[in-house]
Amino acid sequence: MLDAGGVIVEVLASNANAPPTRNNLNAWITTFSLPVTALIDPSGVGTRTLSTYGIRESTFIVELSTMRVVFKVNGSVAGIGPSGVAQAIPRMLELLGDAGTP
Amino acid sequence: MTLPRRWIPALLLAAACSSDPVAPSPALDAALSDDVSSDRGSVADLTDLGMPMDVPVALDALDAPDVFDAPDVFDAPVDVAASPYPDGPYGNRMGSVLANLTWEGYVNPTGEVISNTLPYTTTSLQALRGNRRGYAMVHVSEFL
Repeated sequence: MLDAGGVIVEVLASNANAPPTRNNLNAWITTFSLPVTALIDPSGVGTRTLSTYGIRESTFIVELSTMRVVFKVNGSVAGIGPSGVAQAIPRMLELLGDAGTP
Repeated sequence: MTLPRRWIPALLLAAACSSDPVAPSPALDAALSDDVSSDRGSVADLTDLGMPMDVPVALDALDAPDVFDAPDVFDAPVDVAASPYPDGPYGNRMGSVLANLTWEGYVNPTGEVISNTLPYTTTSLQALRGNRRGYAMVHVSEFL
């Protein structure tokens, strides 16, 4: 997806409803061996991403020229069924015109 | 005489600065015209007057840009990052403009390494938007 020109942003928006720390982010990345941009809110703003973008498993595809949301899906917060990312990837690839490259 | 190209901008600048916006009067024109023959001297005359002849050094000091090597701005590709972040209203629904937030963490645009091996930095959705023309996937996750 990155090769096709896509941008992937993973935001760790909270840690048990509290603002996550850098250590939390490191643990998150290490646990899943994340090779994508992974971020947290800066200190002092609380859980701003959570309150602005929505609950966990909210997954957006935005068109970069307009920053409009062209696709949104909420994965299961119970861990049942495909995650938000898993549901968004096919649409992302379709939009990027490179459905054959994961 | 062939002038080095870097001289030319400085010469043009000097010419522009030295031009008089006020048109000379007919009387002054006549006076100037009368003096043309006597004023038309050589470079040697300037030397005799004590004028500095080391012009290249003087122009180097101006560090004038070389207009011949300047990029053609009209051929430059349109850069999305050069434009400001789109105006709101912002929202998190289909069709809304997603708000530009600032974050800190690891920016990994290539996906070639595990992200926390990269420098810890600050960024924003506008910065991540970069000069890309495609799409971004933004995923909100949470430790429980």
